Amino acid sequence: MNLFTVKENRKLSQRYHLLILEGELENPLPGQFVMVRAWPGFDPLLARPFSIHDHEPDKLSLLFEVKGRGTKLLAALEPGAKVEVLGPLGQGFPEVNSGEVILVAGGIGIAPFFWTAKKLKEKGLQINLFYGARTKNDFLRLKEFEDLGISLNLSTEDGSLGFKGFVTEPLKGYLHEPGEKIIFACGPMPMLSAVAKVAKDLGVRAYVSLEAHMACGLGMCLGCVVKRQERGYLHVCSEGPVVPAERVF
Amino acid sequence: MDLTVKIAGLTFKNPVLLASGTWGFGEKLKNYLDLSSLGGLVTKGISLKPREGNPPPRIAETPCGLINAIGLENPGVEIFKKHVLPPILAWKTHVLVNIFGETIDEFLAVAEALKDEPISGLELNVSCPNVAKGGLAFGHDPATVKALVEELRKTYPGFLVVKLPPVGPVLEVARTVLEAGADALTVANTYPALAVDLTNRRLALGRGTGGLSGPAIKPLTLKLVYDLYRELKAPIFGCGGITSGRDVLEYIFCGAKAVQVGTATLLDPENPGKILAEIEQELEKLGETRLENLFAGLFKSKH
Ligand SMILES: Cc1cc2nc3c(=O)[nH]c(=O)nc-3n(C[C@H](O)[C@H](O)[C@H](O)COP(=O)(O)OP(=O)(O)OC[C@H]3O[C@@H](n4cnc5c(N)ncnc54)[C@H](O)[C@@H]3O)c2cc1C
Ligand SMILES: Cc1cc2nc3c(=O)[nH]c(=O)nc-3n(C[C@H](O)[C@H](O)[C@H](O)COP(=O)(O)O)c2cc1C
Ligand code: FES
Repeated sequence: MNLFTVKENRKLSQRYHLLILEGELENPLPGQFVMVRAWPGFDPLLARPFSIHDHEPDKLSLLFEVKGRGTKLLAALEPGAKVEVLGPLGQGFPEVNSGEVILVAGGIGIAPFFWTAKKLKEKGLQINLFYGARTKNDFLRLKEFEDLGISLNLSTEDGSLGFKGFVTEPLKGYLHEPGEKIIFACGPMPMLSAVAKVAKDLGVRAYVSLEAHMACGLGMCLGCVVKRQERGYLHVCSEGPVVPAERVF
Repeated sequence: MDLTVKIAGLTFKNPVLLASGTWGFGEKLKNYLDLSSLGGLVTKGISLKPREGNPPPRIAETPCGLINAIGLENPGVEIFKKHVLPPILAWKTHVLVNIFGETIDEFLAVAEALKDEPISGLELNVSCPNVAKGGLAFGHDPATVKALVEELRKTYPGFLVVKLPPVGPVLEVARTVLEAGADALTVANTYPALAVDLTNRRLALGRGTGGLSGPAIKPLTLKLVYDLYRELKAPIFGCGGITSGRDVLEYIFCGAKAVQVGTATLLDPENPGKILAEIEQELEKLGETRLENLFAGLFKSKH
């Protein structure tokens, strides 16, 4: 684990924080994650996995939702506090050099897409973000995504902003349009499953970023599994978190 | 500083081994730690046939503890021999292969398959269920575990460790396996444990129950080591909740010859190296130059 220092801990709303850390992450790739611990002793025992939300030399940002004990402790961190970080870990999104990249995010699944979009944008690729949330107040970092100059397609479950319903509906409509496309999706399992189905039906390649409870993040405990499509289990921390959708769905 | 440890004809360069199932097969750990610097490596449990393991969730966290129900996922002994073991054997330290089976014959077949491999020894995981006894673990049944070790001893002359479950008739099982020819004991495996997911109104682990490891179990396993050493004076690998050099010395003081570090490696891949370095510092603080001088010290002092 490497020691990082809290530069800023920005409360974005009641449940969401942007944690900006100073420290060096060696050659990270979009879609990879880090294991984070920011408390002394062994309670909580395990480090917590988080996607790389943004990265610059000597700077790492995490976007997180306050869920339980670990994230509550992270939310309370003050500037100057030390944080242990292990990473970058796992397999990120595949390299894309042509065509259009469609990012599909549900809820906090938006986390890995800021840096991903930034990097893809640098390559001059066209990016279209389909972003679903419960209500208009649950969208995160919308202004920053707009500033990247990518296309945004919002949907909310209650219809308070954008399309009313699940993000897969507008996605389906869009996928019918011609052109070379690839989908990167991150969000809750039911959303990933729905995206995988739409992509398969329309013959579009899709990659999904998975979640699982993790102890080590390094393929050592075999604790972080998700059922594979064929037989057996896939280890999210070493074979993922990003995998081709058909491996799971 | 002299950290060497001798157990039944094997010399370990120091008392820190990596416990079964907590370091993968070293593929990633080698980036954080020189595996050759350790006293030894105990592999993930290997069975005759490949095993998929349990459905998720496989882990749950409790205060200072980890409950796991991995389900002994492993590639099976043939793939293990061909692809997994060779790079592990390249590390310049002792490699013990942890094996298990659901029948005595399966244990014997795994041992047979490994007989020509240049490993340092076998560790038997007897915490797994015995099919012939309706799922009662081998390690809870002195008569069966005796038969297992006796049978194995007919064909396997090498270094043989039995890893005990921490519950059940532990002392009787320990005595029995030593009489049947085991060289040493690993004390102990994880403690049967349960976690509940109230939000979803079910058990937190996919398989239902699991095994508790980590700092939460250290005082319990320390007592087991103390009790077993007092009764049996046999070579013991202490294993349970070790996270520091001080923990290692406490185990050795209670009668362990060496230790195995498990969950600590999962918490931070640099932990085994840190623990090793701390042993020297702690010995220095205690004014000792030889680890051996602390061994079973509790039984030598007047208290
Ligand atoms: C690869 C990966 C990337 C992630 N990226 C982000 C991110 O960028 N932003 C974000 O807000 N969240 C992310 N998560 C989820 C995040 O790890 C959990 O919300 C967090 O661990 C909860 O910890 P807690 O102590 O607050 O909750 P508790 O419920 O107290 O945690 C108890 C245990 O369960 C584990 N756990 C609980 N929920 C999850 C979950 N959904 N996924 C994995 N483990 C869980 C914890 O790690 C811990 O070991 C990611 C998960 C994974 C696997
Ligand atoms: C994720 C995990 C996997 C394990 N797999 C095995 C195994 O395959 N065989 C075995 O004998 N013990 C296994 N164990 C038990 C450990 O080797 C060790 O005995 C136990 O965790 C107690 O030590 P600790 O508190 O230092 O972790 C496993 C433990 C954990 C946490
Ligand atoms: S978290 Fe340990 S193997 Fe994935």
